[in-house]
Amino acid sequence: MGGEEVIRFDQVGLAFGAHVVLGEISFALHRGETLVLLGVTGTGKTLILKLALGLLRPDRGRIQVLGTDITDLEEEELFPLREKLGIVFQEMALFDSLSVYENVAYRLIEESVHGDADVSEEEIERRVRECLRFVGLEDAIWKLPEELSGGMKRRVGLARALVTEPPLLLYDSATAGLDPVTAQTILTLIIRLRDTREVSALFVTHRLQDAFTLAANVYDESSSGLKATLSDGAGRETDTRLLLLREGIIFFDGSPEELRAARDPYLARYFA
Amino acid sequence: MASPVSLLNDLIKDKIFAVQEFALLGWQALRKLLARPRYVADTLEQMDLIGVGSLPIVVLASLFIGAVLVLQIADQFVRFGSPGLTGDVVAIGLVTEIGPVIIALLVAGRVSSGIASELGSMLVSEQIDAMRALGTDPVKKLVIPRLVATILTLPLLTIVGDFVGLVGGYLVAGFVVRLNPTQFWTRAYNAIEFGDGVQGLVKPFVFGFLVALVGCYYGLTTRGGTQGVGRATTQAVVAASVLILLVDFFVTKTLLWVNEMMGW
Ligand SMILES: Nc1ncnc2c1ncn2[C@@H]1O[C@H](COP(=O)(O)OP(=O)(O)OP(=O)(O)O)[C@@H](O)[C@H]1O
Ligand SMILES: [Mg+2]
Repeated sequence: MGGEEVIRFDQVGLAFGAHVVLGEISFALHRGETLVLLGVTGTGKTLILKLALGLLRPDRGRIQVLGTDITDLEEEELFPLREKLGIVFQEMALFDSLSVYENVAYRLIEESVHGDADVSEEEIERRVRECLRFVGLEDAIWKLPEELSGGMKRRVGLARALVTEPPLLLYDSATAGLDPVTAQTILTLIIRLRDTREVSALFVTHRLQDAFTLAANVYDESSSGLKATLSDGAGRETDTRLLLLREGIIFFDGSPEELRAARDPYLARYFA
Repeated sequence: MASPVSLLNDLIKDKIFAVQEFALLGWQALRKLLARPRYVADTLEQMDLIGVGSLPIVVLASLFIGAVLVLQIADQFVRFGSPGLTGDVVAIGLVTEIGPVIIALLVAGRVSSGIASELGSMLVSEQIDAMRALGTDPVKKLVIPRLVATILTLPLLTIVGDFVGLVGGYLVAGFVVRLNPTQFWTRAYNAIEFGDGVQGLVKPFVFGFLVALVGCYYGLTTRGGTQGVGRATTQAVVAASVLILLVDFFVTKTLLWVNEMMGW
């Protein structure tokens, strides 16, 4: 840890009318680190991700992403920055008139339209297939989103975010509504990206076991699977921290061990 | 309980805000018109949807508009004893006013509503946010292709419509009211002067801009889920239609003045 900061929130506040959703949020995400953002429903987790993307503007405070202060940037100045971010939306937000292939290839096709990357069609298809194989959906490549189940859509959303291999990923409930096997596959993927490519991630979830899986496992090259940190002789720490959001503030920020050591009744109830 | 005065105040503020936003969207679209990236494929697809898609309804409607104009006008001129003037009046009326306005209204019914509902649905299902998050500017990817496609195809549709309208008039002149159809056609053709042609072609450009921009504006400002999409769609058609009629008056006034200045 202690690498450069990829996301920094400084006393960020946001309200809708009289409803103050985010009171004062400050945290930092470092390169190669995974922050798990927890909190009961409606506490503003999705809003934090949208703020980090510049889709919304905060009422107060400052937000830095990849070393750039985005608080006052114009929409147009944000586009180059957003190309380095991948996001999985909570409601998927797939383009419903485009096929799975076109959804996943969207960024690659956009880049060739922009003209700053000359990717051939075969290359695009190869990368899209690779990504879809990864989430176990290669067979659905020519389907439309309406022909997919909820969990399949979520995996397409994941593939769409990953296809350009961005250095910073934002996951909004990426494992919600998935069977245990697929959820585990996705967690393994996220841990692999974290441990082998130094991908930083902000991971929103309702599932506590996700947080603990992320915090307690490292990627093992030899078995291409997960390995619990405890069995790792070096006692290596995973670069994973937990953030708990409560009533517009960060109520807890620390490692799972610190969490277990804490004696707060709210935490005890939340993590019971 | 809010007083009527403060309600009225809010209403006026809302409307002024809406006009501001509308103008801002138009300004952004114009400013980014030639900026890269340009979505040529999207524009061509929209031209096909908007232009080719509207062709059948424009042809059918124009045919009957020309026909009914000759029916009415010939009836009057026969009474005044100068049926030959029918061709002049129908041609000028059709090319300068009736053609551009009615075709724009028809296209508004199809296109403003279509754009508003498509963009509105994308907005409420977060697809616009997804697009922005993936690094695409919705103004460039969605608004400009629709704007350019409508601005380019509406004048073409109007030319086709004007011609088909005159054909409808010619048929009625020949088979129904028993004017001299050849005379109708030559008089119609000769009546149209350069200034009329200018009016007939400038108007559809302006209307095309309005039709597409109103659709985009209502689509991109949709609030309130599926019901909101329905509301946006209706409002887009109403607003586009009213704007076409209002703007037509001012454009006509201006062009008549220009016409006089230039001696066309
Ligand atoms: N556009 C909006 N207008 C008004 N209020 C909003 C808007 N978007 C979000 N909110 C409010 O902000 C709060 C936080 O919303 P957010 O979507 O971030 O919750 P969340 O933590 O992601 O919840 P969940 O776990 O259910 O996804 C909610 O109380 C919601 O009512
Ligand atoms: Mg949420």
